[in-house]
Amino acid sequence: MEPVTRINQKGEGKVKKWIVCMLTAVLLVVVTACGGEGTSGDGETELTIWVAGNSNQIQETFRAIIDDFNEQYESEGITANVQFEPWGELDQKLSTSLAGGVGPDVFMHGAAAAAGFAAGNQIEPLNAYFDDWADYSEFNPGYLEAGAVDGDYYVVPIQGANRMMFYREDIFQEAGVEIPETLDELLEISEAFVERDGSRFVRAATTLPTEGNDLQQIWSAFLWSNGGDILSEDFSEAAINSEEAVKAIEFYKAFFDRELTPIAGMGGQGDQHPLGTGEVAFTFDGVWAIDQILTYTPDAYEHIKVAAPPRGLEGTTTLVGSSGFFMNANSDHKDEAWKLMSFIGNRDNIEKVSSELKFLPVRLDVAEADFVKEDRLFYEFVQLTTEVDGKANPNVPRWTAIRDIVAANVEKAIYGQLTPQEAVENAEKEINEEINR
Amino acid sequence: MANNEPNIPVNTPSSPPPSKKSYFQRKKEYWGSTQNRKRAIAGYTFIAPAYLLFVVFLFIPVIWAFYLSFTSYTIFTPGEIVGINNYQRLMNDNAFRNALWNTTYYALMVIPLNISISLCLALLVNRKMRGMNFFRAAYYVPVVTSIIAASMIWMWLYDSNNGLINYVLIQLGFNPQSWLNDPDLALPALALMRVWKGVGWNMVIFLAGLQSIPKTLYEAASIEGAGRWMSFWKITWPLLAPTTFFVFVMATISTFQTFGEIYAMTSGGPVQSTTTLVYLIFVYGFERYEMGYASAIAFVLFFIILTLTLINMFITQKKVNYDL
Repeated sequence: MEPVTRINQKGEGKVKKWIVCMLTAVLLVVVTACGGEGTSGDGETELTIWVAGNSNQIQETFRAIIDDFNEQYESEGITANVQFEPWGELDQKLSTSLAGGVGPDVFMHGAAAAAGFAAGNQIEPLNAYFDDWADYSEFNPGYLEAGAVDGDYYVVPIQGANRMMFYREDIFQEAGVEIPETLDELLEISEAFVERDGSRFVRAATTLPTEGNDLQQIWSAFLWSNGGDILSEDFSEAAINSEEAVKAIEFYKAFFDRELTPIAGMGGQGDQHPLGTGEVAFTFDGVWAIDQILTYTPDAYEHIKVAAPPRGLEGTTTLVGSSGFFMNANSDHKDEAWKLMSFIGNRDNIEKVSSELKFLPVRLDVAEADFVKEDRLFYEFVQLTTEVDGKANPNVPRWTAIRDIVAANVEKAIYGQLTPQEAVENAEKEINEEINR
Repeated sequence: MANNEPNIPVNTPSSPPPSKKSYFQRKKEYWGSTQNRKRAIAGYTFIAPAYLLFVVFLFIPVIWAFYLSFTSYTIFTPGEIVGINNYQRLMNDNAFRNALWNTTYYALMVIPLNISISLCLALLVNRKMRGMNFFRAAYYVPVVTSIIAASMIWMWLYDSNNGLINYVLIQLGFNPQSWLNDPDLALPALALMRVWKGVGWNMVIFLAGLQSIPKTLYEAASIEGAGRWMSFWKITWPLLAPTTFFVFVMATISTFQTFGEIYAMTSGGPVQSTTTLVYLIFVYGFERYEMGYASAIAFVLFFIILTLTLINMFITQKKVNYDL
């Protein structure tokens, strides 16, 4: 009671002051929280750019590029601040910040995300900028197309992310087999690679994801190689209920049913790649595997080869993925943002990221550069991408939901909860519901 | 409840003497006094910061989410009001039914195990012995461990090819299991980890409850010839009822809201066998951006927890205040 009485006697003014202080503090918090956008002070422009991936190497390479940009555009008063976001969190952080109106001016993302962002008017079409851009014709058209929606271009590509088949030549030799012609033959010879200690795998034939994004990417390549597809040509309905899709599931599932690979996967040890540790004989991986093998298991590098995956019912089709930089449609500094995007896309910078980060070159004039030939695996991989048929995931607004439906149904078939036929029927039904929602 | 002076009756008549003035008259009288007003202002000023945070970051978002659950809002488009469509869609959504069952199954595994083990631990550490504080701290360590760090360690333990648990099983002559990759085992495996993570917290609460039971009751009981088992059932268990009730309610709420370890360890798989309601909300809300639908699921979860808590309160209300 005592302190309250004291306030009552002589603290009336104090209470008022207290309330005023409190309200001021609250207002301050509200104002600073709302005014988070880094904007111009006196003719100066501050840009924010988000780069996907946060490894030390990525940070080093992109910081150097942004420093160069800031130096070059100092006279124009443009400064870019770079932020690195891990791929796993990129989508959520980006979507929420864009929706909240505090997103970066320029950001890196997978090209397949274009349709979703474009449907929400979150990204700026770049057609007008491309018209006056001399470098435009130097880019691999496939990568520019990958980020196009309804004839509008949205992406300045930075990295190709195709998948090929990596394998251990020594393990193949030891088993007395070669890369077979067809996927079915690959399944047949796989038994020769497996080594077990009781029920534990010492070495598996391969490692295959059983859920999510990775499952969809690898399984879809088998589906396409069989001549099937997920959506119809005009993307208006599901096309997954097909004999080709059933065969692709049966093939995928057989690796688990015949105990050629554990359902839990063979993840390697820590950061090591399972090919580097010799725990598997082959994998279907992106170009990023090369750097992982070189960094963490350099001794194994000489044993590793890259090849086009064996043929399915129709031929070989691999997944073509890519990522690049998008412009925020709500940016206050679009012209400056374009200066930054075209700067990153110039020859020197694309060569820099491709050589330092082993990113698949997105410019035709970089694909033939000397550094590509310096690394044997990288060179072979780049060559294969020009020779093997490639296909990208469909660029449709509801793609993430459709992707999840495909992955979830294939997963159910792998675990035996649905037959392959039931899985494709179910996937067809759910995809059509999703498209018509 | 707690009372170490057995001569003073614990139970006081709880109903206030009947008031002659109406509620509004009393209020008017209260606010008529300058002193009371000043006191009230001072009081409200003190609680204002906490309340402001509560209102801005909890109350308004909750009301807003309730509104959103009747819209087709995705974070990019404002969405339209769709009435109860989202709730109707829930009824036919297999993913929702599956998540509801998973959550219930998970709670049925975790809560009884958690409460019984934490009570046993509390009874064990509720004695004066050298080094007892060490054990109390040791059992509490998992509680203060970050859920993600703990998840990483348990993923190594559960690893089907190189994990410690399978190694021990093989050494003992059993078959190794794919703990986190077997749809039948993944949820029980997560439940086990959850129990490990949660018993310390409940143990401390039980310990506080145990220490507030008057020692004289046990003395009296032992003079009457009651054994330890009898003392437990006739004294400890009934007098712990309010604590048990509290622990039960909190455990129910927290297990129904499980998310961190599922996000870190299984991503809801394999084949959605560990997709709980909160994880499903995350998938719909932050992977597919169907915020309206995700909000509807969140409100169903809210009403489930509310109902369970009310039932708990209703059942235990009469029994909680145990008369001495």
